[in-house]
Amino acid sequence: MSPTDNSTLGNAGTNAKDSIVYKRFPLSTRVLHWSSAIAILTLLWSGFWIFNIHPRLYWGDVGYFGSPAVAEIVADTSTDPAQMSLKLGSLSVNVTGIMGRVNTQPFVRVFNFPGGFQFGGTRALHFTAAWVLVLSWLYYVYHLISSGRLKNTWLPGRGELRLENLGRELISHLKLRRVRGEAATRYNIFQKITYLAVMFVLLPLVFLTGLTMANSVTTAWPFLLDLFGGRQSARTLHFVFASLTVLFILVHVLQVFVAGFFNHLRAMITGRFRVTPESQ
Amino acid sequence: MSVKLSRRMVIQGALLGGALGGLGLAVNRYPARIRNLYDVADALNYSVHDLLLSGQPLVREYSQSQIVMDFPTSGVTAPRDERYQLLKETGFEDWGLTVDGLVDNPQRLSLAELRALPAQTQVTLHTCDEGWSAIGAWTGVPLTTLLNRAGLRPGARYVVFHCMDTQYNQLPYYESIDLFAASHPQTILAYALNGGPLPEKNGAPLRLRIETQIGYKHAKFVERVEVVDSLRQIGEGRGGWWEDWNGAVWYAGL
Repeated sequence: MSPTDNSTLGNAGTNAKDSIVYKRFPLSTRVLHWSSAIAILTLLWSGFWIFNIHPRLYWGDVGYFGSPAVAEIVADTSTDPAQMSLKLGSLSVNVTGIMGRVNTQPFVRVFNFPGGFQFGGTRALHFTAAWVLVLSWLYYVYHLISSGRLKNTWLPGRGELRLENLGRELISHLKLRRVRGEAATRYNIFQKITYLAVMFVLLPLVFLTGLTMANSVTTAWPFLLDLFGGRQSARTLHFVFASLTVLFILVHVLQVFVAGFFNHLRAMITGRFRVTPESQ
Repeated sequence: MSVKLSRRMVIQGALLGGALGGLGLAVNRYPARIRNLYDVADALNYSVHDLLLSGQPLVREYSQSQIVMDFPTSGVTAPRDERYQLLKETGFEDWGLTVDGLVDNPQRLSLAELRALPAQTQVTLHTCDEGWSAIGAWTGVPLTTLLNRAGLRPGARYVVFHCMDTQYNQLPYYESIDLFAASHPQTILAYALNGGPLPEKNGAPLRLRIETQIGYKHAKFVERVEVVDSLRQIGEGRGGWWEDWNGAVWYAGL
């Protein structure tokens, strides 16, 4: 049964006691969702380590200890343990124990690599996870288009982008109201916009800014350096886009809790999703 | 039993088959010992990037005004080895570069002899795997000039750089590249930086510039260039000090 098959769901809705379970996500979607999730978490983890080796962000082509930084973590080694401050413009936040140049950070110790920290290994892990994510993404895009899911479930339908609909959906979101009945089988307009933006804008930007840090890639495609304003700008933007990905994941997980944690988790594992009728 | 193949299944099968075949080819031509999944991904990077660079495009050059005069550095910045200290005291007069291995005419060139060879200067962006980058003007001899003088023997496939700086595990630094990267027009052995002799912290008297790859490939304090047919016999078999002792990947295009 397809998620847009309204007749059966409509019938279910007339009987208050009944909820129905249907197969919501095909196998490809579920496998790719989790391979991407594991890859993204691995990339964030290894990326965090790589950042801490040189915890400064720059703009342009050039950036090194001694040149001006857009943002940086400054170590005050006059105290023991050293105090780490995140400096962004006039803002200064104490991040001791969370971030900063390796290796004495308690947080960093907890999240250490099995067998100890090896900087070369963090980069190797980052590139391996990047391949998993890029291949998952490529197959996801192919799957979305070839299966019709992009057209049927992701692209906004007629009228969905109208202001009154947007307003209604926004209020419903802000109230963290759980959606029931037939509406729960469809993505709402904010979900659609978010998924489209993450899939077709944010992730490609993460990939491209990452590639712009690769010497061999910019040798073949020097226009990438111009596109992002230089090697260091690309590194900084890579960090910004990765942070936006973290924001997406946080909101995504929050929404899963609001919408029904176990039902949605099961749907993404077994594919089976339960729809409860609209409240009477 | 008959299985009806849909068009989609055929396309998916072809994609999967192509991907697995490509991966197999990439793993097969990877020179370093494959230890784990990281190396499989690295083999993929190596082959994909070789395709990208197949026409040997030049890396971007920058203007003189963008040069960073006090050039930053990472890794060993002052070798404590006694032999290095003695050579340094005499301005590397007694130092010589050896080119040997799978070559017809092994070479030994003094610094003066290197300087007398046709030189080239390139203003490029050096990127360290730690994250920093800086622009410098490097002057030196194209690696192909030296390899051509020595004459490659059949079977020559990789170039290993042996260095004078001992690392914390008591082993001298070593790195390696393949002949394709070695023959890039901007791959040089540099003896000058920003118009002056190469400073000690940047690898005096001679260092590798391999502009298509990242920092740790740019071996400093080089004293020997060895041409080999395989990297398995070098160090622990992974082609470099960082690769053998710090989990780094052999291909450093990224």
